[in-house]
Amino acid sequence: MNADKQGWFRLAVLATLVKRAPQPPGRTAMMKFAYLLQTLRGVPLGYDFRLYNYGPYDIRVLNDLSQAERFRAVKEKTVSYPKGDGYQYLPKERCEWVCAQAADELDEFGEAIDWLVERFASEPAWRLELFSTIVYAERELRRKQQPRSRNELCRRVQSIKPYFDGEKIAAAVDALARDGLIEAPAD
Amino acid sequence: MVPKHQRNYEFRCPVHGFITLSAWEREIVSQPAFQRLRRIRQLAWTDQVYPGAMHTRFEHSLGVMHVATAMYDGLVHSSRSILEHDLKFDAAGIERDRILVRLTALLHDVGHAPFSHAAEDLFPVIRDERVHRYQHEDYSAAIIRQKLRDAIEQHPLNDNYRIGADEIANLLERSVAAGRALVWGDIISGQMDADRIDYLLRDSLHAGVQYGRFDWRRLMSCLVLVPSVEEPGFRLGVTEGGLHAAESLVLARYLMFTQVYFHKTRVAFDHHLHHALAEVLPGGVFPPPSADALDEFLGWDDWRVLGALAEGRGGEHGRRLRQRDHFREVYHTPETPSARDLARFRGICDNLGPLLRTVVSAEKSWYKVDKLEIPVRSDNPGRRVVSLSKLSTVVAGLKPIDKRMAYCAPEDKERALAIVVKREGRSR
Repeated sequence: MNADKQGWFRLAVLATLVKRAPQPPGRTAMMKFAYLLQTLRGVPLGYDFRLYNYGPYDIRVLNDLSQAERFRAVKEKTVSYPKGDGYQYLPKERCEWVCAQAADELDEFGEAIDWLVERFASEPAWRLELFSTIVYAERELRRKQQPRSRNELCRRVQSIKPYFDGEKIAAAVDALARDGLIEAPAD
Repeated sequence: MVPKHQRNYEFRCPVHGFITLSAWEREIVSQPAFQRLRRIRQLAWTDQVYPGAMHTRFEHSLGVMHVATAMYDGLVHSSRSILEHDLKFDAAGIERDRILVRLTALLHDVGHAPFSHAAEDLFPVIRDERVHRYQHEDYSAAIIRQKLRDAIEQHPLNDNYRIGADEIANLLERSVAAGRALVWGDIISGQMDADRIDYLLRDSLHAGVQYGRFDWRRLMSCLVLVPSVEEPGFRLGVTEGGLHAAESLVLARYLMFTQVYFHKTRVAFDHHLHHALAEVLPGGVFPPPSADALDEFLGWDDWRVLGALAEGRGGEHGRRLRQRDHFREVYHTPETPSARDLARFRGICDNLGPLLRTVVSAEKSWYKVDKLEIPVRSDNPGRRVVSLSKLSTVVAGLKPIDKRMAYCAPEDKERALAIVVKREGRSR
């Protein structure tokens, strides 16, 4: 895929996710959707995610959302959360037009997008952040051929996010392992 | 008398005045792998447009350490309760991580290739979960682990801290092994990081422009860890008092990009350098950051490349660099092109045919202007967090720059311009 084509493909995927999500996704959700789609389903979005204490992140996802907004494929809406203002994305009138710019590629990876929407689009932002951090950790440990048992994964994620409840981390590890999305054998 | 290993050393810096290093940090700086940065220019061939821009990664690295320390101290001052209660730091942990952050900032660029970012497309391709190129951070991490380990781990000042080379490399690589220290990740590489703060100020000074200047000291005193809005956790942000200092950072970045980093002639030189280097390097790429190839990589610096070019190597692009016979821009889109602008650009490129020698895109530039979302903590009761772009109409109006520029050879410029004029006349 050449660079121009890949740019349209990324916009088309993001617009499709906004269009298909059961509730308007926020910034965290969009960031983590892109990460999970690229990492777990190998969709060639070309992002370079790096780990922060708030999970895998690549600023280019926000750049692309901004671009999609400029092309009137999506609309950014301010929403009030208890701790402050955030954003949600809604489809806009040129959503279909942007998707049509990469119609063949969307078709090729349609199954992966269906899967992501089905499996993750209803999850709250905090759980998406947890899932994506766990996937990032498991992939790194696997790549480096380091131990990645269930307890080890929980310990690693807890060390990055000491403010997260340990039981919630363990439940998220178990859910991903149950679905075969990570390997986390019991100790 | 203070023992030698406990002395501090001051380095003069044109941006920050004196930068103080401990004997331990000076020992690291003295290593050949770090001294190599004296031979790597910060802005590649930018001096062909801005003659003063001859500064190196060496002075920038010291500057980043200085700024990172100021950021760290500012954050500890403003957010100590979050660090202690939510992130479980104690006083010793805070003191230890200050050194970890200083060393990581100092060494963040030690893996740069000759002429910095201009040569990064010649890093070898790696195939793991996806196909991509190594990045200079991969080289930095490898150099820290393989070449600087002794200088980091064996110095007497490290006896109380036991900071390992792997810890520094882990934080730089954003490894899960960095654990809690990832909270400092935004200082090393993030929306408002020490690297960016230093390079804007430094590049502006050396290029002789005023665009990159902003009140960075005010920014330091307003840094704060703010709660993430959508989920548990914390991010680097500013208090409301720092709103305009943060705004000026965003503007400085925008102006430096449009006026310096993405200058039409500067990026033409990047193009020539890339292709000349591809001719000079064995196999057309740099050695990988593996144990057996790292010495060979470290042998590449600006001096060696310039020597090769002076000997007549580098092919057509080497000649163009030697003779300042660079490609010329013949058409460009607006900075934030519409879909129609992009279609017109593609049409002109098609019309230029073989006269079109290269296309440069802002989106592909290392210095590209990303969407910058700095969280701002309100001074009002409740201390709600709001994005800078919601509070600043100036920032809200800035869109990611996606400018494209088409180039031809100077000898073809007249013919290329005639084609562009004809096409533009037709579209009107």
